[in-house]
Amino acid sequence: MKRLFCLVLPLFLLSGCAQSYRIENQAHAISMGIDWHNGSMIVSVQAPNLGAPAGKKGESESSSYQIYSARAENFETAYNILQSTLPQQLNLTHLKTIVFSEEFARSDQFIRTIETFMDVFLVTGSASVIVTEKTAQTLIENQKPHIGIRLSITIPSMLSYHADNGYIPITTLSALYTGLKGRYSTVLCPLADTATDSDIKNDPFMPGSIPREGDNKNEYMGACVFDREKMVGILNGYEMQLCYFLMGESNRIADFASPFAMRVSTRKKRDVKMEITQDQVNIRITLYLDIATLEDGADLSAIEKRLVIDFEKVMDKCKDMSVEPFGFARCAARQFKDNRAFEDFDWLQKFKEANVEIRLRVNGES
Amino acid sequence: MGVRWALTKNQNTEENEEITHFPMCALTLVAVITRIFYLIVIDTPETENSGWLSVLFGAALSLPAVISAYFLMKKNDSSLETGACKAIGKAGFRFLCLVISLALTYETSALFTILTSSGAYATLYNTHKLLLLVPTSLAVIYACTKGGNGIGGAAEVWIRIYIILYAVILFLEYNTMNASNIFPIFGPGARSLLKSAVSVMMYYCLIPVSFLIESGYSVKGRGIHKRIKPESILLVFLLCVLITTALLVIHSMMYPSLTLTSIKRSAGMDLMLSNGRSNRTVQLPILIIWFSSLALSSGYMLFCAGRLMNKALSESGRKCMFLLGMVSMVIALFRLSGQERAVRFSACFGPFLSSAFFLLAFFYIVRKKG
Repeated sequence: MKRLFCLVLPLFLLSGCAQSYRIENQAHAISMGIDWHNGSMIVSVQAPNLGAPAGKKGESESSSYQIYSARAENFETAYNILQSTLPQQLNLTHLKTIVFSEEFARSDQFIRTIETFMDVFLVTGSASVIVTEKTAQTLIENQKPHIGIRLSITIPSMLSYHADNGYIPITTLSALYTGLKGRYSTVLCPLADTATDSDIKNDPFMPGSIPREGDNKNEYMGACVFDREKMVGILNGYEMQLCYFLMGESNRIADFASPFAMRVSTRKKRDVKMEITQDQVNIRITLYLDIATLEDGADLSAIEKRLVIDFEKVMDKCKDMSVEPFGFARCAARQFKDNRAFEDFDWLQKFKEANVEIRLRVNGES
Repeated sequence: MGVRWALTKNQNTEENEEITHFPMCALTLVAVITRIFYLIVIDTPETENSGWLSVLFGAALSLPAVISAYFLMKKNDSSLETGACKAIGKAGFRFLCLVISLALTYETSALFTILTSSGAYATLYNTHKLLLLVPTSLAVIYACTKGGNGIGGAAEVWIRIYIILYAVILFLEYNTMNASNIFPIFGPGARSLLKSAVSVMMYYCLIPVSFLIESGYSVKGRGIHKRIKPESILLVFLLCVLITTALLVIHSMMYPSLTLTSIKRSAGMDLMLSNGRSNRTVQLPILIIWFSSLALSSGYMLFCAGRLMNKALSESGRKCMFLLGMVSMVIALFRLSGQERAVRFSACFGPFLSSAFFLLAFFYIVRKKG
């Protein structure tokens, strides 16, 4: 009887091996794009073309990936249409990137869609979020595997490389969600654009207008800033690098995008002192930096002055956008009894009016 | 002084379905800590990152029950059952056992639901609930009917493994922990925290229940049985409070406080089991800890329910466990022990259980004086 019981019991556990779980029956999406245009949502997915012959000589590597899209008035319907028209079951558990168009990120649809997305769909939260100035579909179409032969390797390593240089933040879907829902955080997402000949921008630190040439048309530079509900502004690549230092997250930036040729690294954790009174917030932040100039005889004090000005500009830009991505709110929260007291204080408004003093303690080497 | 017992086959603890002191303590520690952790992190996310304060408030609220149990044990040679019988008579004691047994049957079904939802969340989201619930429940029922020392021994081994796995988690998560996440200290406000503290109270009050069930002896090498000291109930209580609080503080430091609109279990599980569905190395030890602790907790609840029913009706403990296990499974199948109902139930039954132990001590004093 016991043996029979032991034999029967595992049979129930084999239910996962039903036909629907076969890899040939799944479309494992690598990237997903969401666009919002003229009141309709366009959902696109890029999935490997399983079983397709290897690309012939001269044929693009990206031909082994298929792009499917669907349009509807909201995300749920578009997703359902996509699922019902795909030849296999759509599987989002291996997603590497989710691309939002800027128009969608700035729309009122954004927060509602993200909430639905996290609540209902079996999507992996470790997918990186990217916001693009043009359509998400355009960015996905122009994704080409360069480093490896698979996009699933190319994309994360490329994003990681750009983030190491401080040009973009890396934000996963779960980090975006917790950032939007977090009490004390402002979330930043990497900004991307597809370069076209018609793009005319004067900022060399903005994607789509970087003065360069190459096969890959997609450019990743800077960050878009979100408040509690949607995207509210942009930081360019240089501002993002400065923002990393102010957030206390950066260790070393090899290619610093300032007018000076130098390498900057943090020597010690930032020091934040905060005085909070009923109607005034005074913040004093001290950054400990090691600066290695690449030119002989560079004036370190001039560099320091220039950096302080640039740090203050980033701070003011964030104040104008009514966001605070630097983590000061967490420091401030220590001084309140409960969440209600903190909310009543209206931190973001107080931060806008706060006196922020930035001090640098620089060690130089050339 | 240790007393050597000549164990015959009939006296063997495995055969007469008893559980000795140390396995019961280990099982109680695992079950109480797991259940409170789950209650705070998953079932009452409105406590945000201040849930550890609810644990302390809950401990304070359940202290009278634990002290009362300690008093009864102190006065009756470490036997809570004898004290309870003297206080309310055998019939009253049987009735009390029956009520607690039924409550723990419901709690077992809540744990079966949690185990099933965790399994469904992790990978088996397309699998029918029946196929998840039946084998899970049957495995727990089978383990319980094999004797208390078996499942208690598993808990003893599990505590050792837990310490190693938790050290791995701390090592991997050290960089992501931020002490600022636990501020403001009272989070959603004292009222919210006290509300969940009432639910927490029920699980601390299970500690005296464990001492009602256990044999009252600890077994050392070569079968030497030694009478336990009444202070051990205070020690188990203290360990439960300290460990649960420490675990919740560490957990709160790992994740930022969220203003969640959804208070569904899936949202809490997202954060706890996979850091918002972001796969990381730490996920494996967390999942191992999670499922094993839940399985042991449901085993504990079912074992206690069965043993109490056995005391109430004088029926075979195994039979009681099997039947109550099946009842729990049916309750879970009909979705009667979901999140909201389970939280509401613990909020009601906690004060009942606490006051029951307090009244036992009260009646004991009155009868002694009378």
